[in-house]
Amino acid sequence: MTDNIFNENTVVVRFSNLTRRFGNFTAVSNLNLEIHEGEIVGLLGPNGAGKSTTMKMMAYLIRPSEGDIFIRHNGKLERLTNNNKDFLLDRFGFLIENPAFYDNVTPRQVLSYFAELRGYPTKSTRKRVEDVVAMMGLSEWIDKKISTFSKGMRQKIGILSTIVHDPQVVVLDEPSTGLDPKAQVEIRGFLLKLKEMGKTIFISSHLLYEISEVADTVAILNHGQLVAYDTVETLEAKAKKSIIQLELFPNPNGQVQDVTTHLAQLISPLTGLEPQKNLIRYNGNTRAFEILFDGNPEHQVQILKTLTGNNFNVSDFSVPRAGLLEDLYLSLVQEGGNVQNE
Amino acid sequence: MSDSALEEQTFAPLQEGVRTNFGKGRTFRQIGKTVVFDGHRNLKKLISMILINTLFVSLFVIINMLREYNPPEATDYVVSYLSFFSFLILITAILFGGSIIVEDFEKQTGNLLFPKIERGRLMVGRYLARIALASISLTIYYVEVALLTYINYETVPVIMWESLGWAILYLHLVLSCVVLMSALLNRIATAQVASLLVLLMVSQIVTEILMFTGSTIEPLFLPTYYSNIISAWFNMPDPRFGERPAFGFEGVSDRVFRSWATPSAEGAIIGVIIYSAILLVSAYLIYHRKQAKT
Repeated sequence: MTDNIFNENTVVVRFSNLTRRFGNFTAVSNLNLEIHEGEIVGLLGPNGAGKSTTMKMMAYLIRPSEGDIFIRHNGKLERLTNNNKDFLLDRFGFLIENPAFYDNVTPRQVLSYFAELRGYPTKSTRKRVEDVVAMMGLSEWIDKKISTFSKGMRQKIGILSTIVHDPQVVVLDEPSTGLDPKAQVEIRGFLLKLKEMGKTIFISSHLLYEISEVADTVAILNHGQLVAYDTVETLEAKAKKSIIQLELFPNPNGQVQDVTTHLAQLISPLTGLEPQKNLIRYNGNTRAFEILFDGNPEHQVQILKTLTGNNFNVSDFSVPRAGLLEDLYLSLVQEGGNVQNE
Repeated sequence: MSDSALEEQTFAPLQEGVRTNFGKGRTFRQIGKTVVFDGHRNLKKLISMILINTLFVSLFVIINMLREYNPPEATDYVVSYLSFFSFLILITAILFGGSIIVEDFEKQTGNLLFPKIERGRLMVGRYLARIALASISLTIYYVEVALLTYINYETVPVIMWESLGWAILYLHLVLSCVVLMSALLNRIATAQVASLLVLLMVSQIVTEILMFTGSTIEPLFLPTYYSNIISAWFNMPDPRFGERPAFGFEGVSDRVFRSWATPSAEGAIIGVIIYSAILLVSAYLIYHRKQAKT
C-alpha cells in the first residue's frame, strides 16, 4: 500500500499470517493484507488460488488453521472470534460464490429477512428494501417470485443482499461470473456507486478486466500465496511495461505479419524496453495490435507521432487498464506455477 | 440501471445505535425472523398436507358408510379414524422436515444465508416453523374428525384432544429423526426416502426380531413404538403388553412371545424428550461441520 491517505487508523480489516489447510493441501498460506476504509480492493487469482477460502474465513464460515483476522470496531482493531463475530460482521455484507435463492419467495421477502437478520430496524426495513431494489433498477420485480428471474437478475439480487442491511464493508466473491457483458458493466457501475457512498469493497475475481476497472488496490493470489499487493499504478510501475492497443483502418487482413514487422522496425526503439520478441503483436480476438512499452507517457506520445508520421491510419490508440496489468498478472501466476511444479 | 436512477437514490448511512440489539436478544430475534420467513415459505406444504388429511378423513367416512355401522361410543368412533394416523404423521414429518438442513447444500442457498445467521439459530427457527405447521396440519385432521363425531353423536370426547397432544409429541420425535437424516444426507429426496425406510421398515423388523427372540424389554428405543399411545390413550391397556405361547418348532413351545401395546404416559414423555434431544443435537453437530460442495 503506497497511497498516503491511508494509515493505521484507516485499516478496517487486517489479515495477519492467515493460513488455511485442508489436510495436506494449503489453500491459503501466510496471507498478510490490509483493507482500508473507502477503498476497493481487488483479489485476483486463477481458479483454485484461494480467493473463496479467504473470503469464507472472513465470513467466519471456515476458521483459519493459523493466523487471525482483525476488524475495526469502536475505533480499534478486534480479533474476529466466535464470540464477537455476530456484531463485528454486522457491518459486513457477503456474497460468497453463486447466489442461489429459494424459488418460491420474492426479492422483498428475502431481502427483508436478510436485513433483519443483520439487525436492520424492522420499521425501516420495508423502505430500505424498496430503495436498494430501485437502485438496481428492479422495482417492478420486487414482488415477483425469484423462480421467474434470469441468472443476471438473481446475481443482482445477490449483490443487493450484501448491502440491504447497510454494511460498512461489502465482500463480493466473483460477482460477475457467468453474466453477459451488459450486466457486468451494470455491476461495475454499481460498485463504483457504492464506493461513492463511502463503502469499502473487497472483491475477488479471476477476470482481470473486472478488477482493473474498479479497484484502487489489487492483491494477486496464486497457490494460496500473496504474490503482489499494491495500487494498480504501482504495480504497473513495478512491471515496467504497459500495453498500447492500436487499431488501424482499414484493418490489415492478410498482411498482419508484414505490418507487424514494419511496426516493430519503426517503434521498437521508442518503447523504452530492451529489444525482445513479441514487443509488437497482433491480437486476433480484438483485431488490434498490442505494443509493449515502459509506460512512460513521453514514449507513448512519440510512438503515436511516429505512426501518424509514417501514414498509418490510426483508428484507436489506447492504454487499457486491464492491459497494463495483464502481463504482470500472467507472469506472476506463471512464476507461481513454475515454483509449484518444481 | 441508469446513472440518473442511481443519483435519485439517497442513502443516509445507518446510525449504529439504531441497529437492533446484540447478545441474547439477537439470538431470539434471528430465530423469530427465521420462524416467520420459513413458515411463510412452507405454507404450500401445509395446504398440501391439509388436502391429504381431508382425503384420509373422506376415505374413512366412505368406509364407515359402506359398513353401515357406527360404534356405540363416540370415543370408539374417533379411534376408528386413527388407524393410519401414525403413518400420516410420518408423511407429515417427512414432507416438512426432509429439506430442513440439506436444501441449503443441495440448492446452494446457504451461500447467502450462512454468513448472516449462525446455523444453530437457523436450525432452531426452521424446526419451530415446521413443527408448528405440521402440528396445525394434524390439528385440522382432529378437528375434521371432531366435526364428524359431533354430527353423529352430538358430543365430542375431550380425551381426543389429549390424544392430539400425544400425536404432536410423536410428531416431534419423528421430525427429529427426519432432521438427522436431512443433516446426514446430501439430497432432499434421499433424506425423505431414507427417513421413510428407517422409520417404517427398520423399526418393524426390529420389533419382530425382539418379539420372536422372546425379549421382555419394552422397545422404548424404537421411535415408531411411541405412536401406539395416540390411539391406546382412549383406553389404556393394563398390562401394556400381551403374551402368547410360541408355536411350531420343537423346543420353543415352552417360550412366550411378548408384544408391547403402548408406552406409559411417563415413559412416552421422557422417552420422546430424551430421544429427540439426542437426535437434534446430533443433527446440529453434523450441520455445524457440513460444508457446501463447490
